Amino acid sequence: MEATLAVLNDLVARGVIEKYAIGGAVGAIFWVEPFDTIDLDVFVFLPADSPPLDPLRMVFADLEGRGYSFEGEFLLIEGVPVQFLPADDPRGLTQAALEQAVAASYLGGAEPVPAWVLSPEYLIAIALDVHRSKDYERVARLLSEAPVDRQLVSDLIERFDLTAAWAVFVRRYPEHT
Amino acid sequence: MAIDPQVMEKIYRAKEERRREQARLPFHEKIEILVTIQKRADGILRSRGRPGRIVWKLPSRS
Repeated sequence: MEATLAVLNDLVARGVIEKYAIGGAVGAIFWVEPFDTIDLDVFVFLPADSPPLDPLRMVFADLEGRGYSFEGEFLLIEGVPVQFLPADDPRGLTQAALEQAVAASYLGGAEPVPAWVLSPEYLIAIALDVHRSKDYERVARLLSEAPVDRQLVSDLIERFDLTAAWAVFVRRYPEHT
Repeated sequence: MAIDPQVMEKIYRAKEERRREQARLPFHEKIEILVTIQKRADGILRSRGRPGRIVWKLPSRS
């Protein structure tokens, strides 16, 4: 994992991406008890000259040029399947999440490797936005185990029009109201 | 046999506390646990004659 993060940091250093942050299940795992997942979701800001119809093309070309290859839908980087997600949704939720990402340090090897992770509040908002069953479960985990600013969660629900998804969550997990 | 509600409450609280302890682990320890979970799931699938699943390949520790 530290080698994977080092590759991501190198992409930033060389300007292939402008910023990244870990989201999805691994982002949640940063804050809660570990649980199973397949891939590492990475939200990215891309340079302004990225091709609009194929925004990740330069990222993939760069990584494939360095010997990394696709395994199904994931790019396998140092043994970890990575899913790159441009932070460019029309409502600006993923952009805001990436802007507010938290600096972290991964201490798996001899040297700590810096990384960015989405905050629990934004992970909750994105999970509500995606609103599959596993996303609602993730919201419940984050609310019970992570240091969550409930006021910020409420603000994000209102700002990004997630009220309907929150209502579904509350029906499924009434203990979190 | 009826289960004593106080016993159930004690078990529930212990599980909650364990979850919170695991949530406080350093990130790299959580990733090691994740890979252990992936290996177990892969082993179960293969033992049932089904294709395995993705298991992350982390560098081995000396």
